[in-house]
Amino acid sequence: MPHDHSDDDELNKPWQAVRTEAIESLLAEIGVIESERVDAIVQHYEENVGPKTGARVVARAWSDPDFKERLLQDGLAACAELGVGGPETEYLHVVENTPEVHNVVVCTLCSCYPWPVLGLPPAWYKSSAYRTRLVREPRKLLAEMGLDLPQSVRIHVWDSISEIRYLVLPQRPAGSDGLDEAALADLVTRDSMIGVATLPPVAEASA
Amino acid sequence: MKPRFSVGDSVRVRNLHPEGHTRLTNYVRGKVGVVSIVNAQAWVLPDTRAHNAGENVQPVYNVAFSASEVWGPQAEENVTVNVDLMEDYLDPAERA
Repeated sequence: MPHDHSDDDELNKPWQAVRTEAIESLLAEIGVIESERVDAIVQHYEENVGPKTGARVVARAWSDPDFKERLLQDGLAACAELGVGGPETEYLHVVENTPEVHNVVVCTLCSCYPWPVLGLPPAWYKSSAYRTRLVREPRKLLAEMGLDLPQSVRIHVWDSISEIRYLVLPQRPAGSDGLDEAALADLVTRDSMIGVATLPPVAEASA
Repeated sequence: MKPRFSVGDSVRVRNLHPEGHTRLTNYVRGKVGVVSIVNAQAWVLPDTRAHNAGENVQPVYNVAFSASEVWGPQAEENVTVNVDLMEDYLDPAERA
């Protein structure tokens, strides 16, 4: 029997993708949505919105103590100063990592995530393994993900199951004192703003 | 709308098991925590809005639970779980 690759791909699609496509095509058929509009939204989130936006916010907070103060008070209002905003975040709490406290974000009910600053969530963020284990054994899970935190560091797991979204303000990397805001933003990773990573010292990062 | 609870109050999560939609994650049901944030903004209660039973706009709190309160003796040490909860999910509790 000849092997038709595209049919095979179609059969192996996850049920979620099949269901989403079915709903989209039905909504398009009855005129509720236009496929071009859906494509434009997907493209916008794939290409224009992503963790670089959050990195810009973090770099500003490291550079400007007054901005940081405002960011910790009301995340969304401070982000708006940088022209950052958009759907899927009605309220944003920024939680600051310190030598004593490490923050990490999850949504145990689904995959709530601060789209305007981080873009769309990575696949692992939506996995049941991450969502169940981060609340049950965060220190062990973070170690498996490459982040070994000393026992003395208190871990705060933020379970964002309501309409409030969370962004972790990572600790500024050692050796970054002389860097300007743009260079600082280049150091900030998506994972450090979710809280599953910290940022290495600058010398090590550029080695 | 005046929030019923303040930062520092001990609260016990109600042991609710509704048939329909809820945003009350089950691992904190019945557990005692401390209010760490009282949000300035109120939100609709998903449990009723999902079933066309009213918006029930109300305060949302962040409640901090020690891992040992949630998971018992097998909990990791030095861990706090912070969960966002609607006012209707909470009862006052005596400070532990």
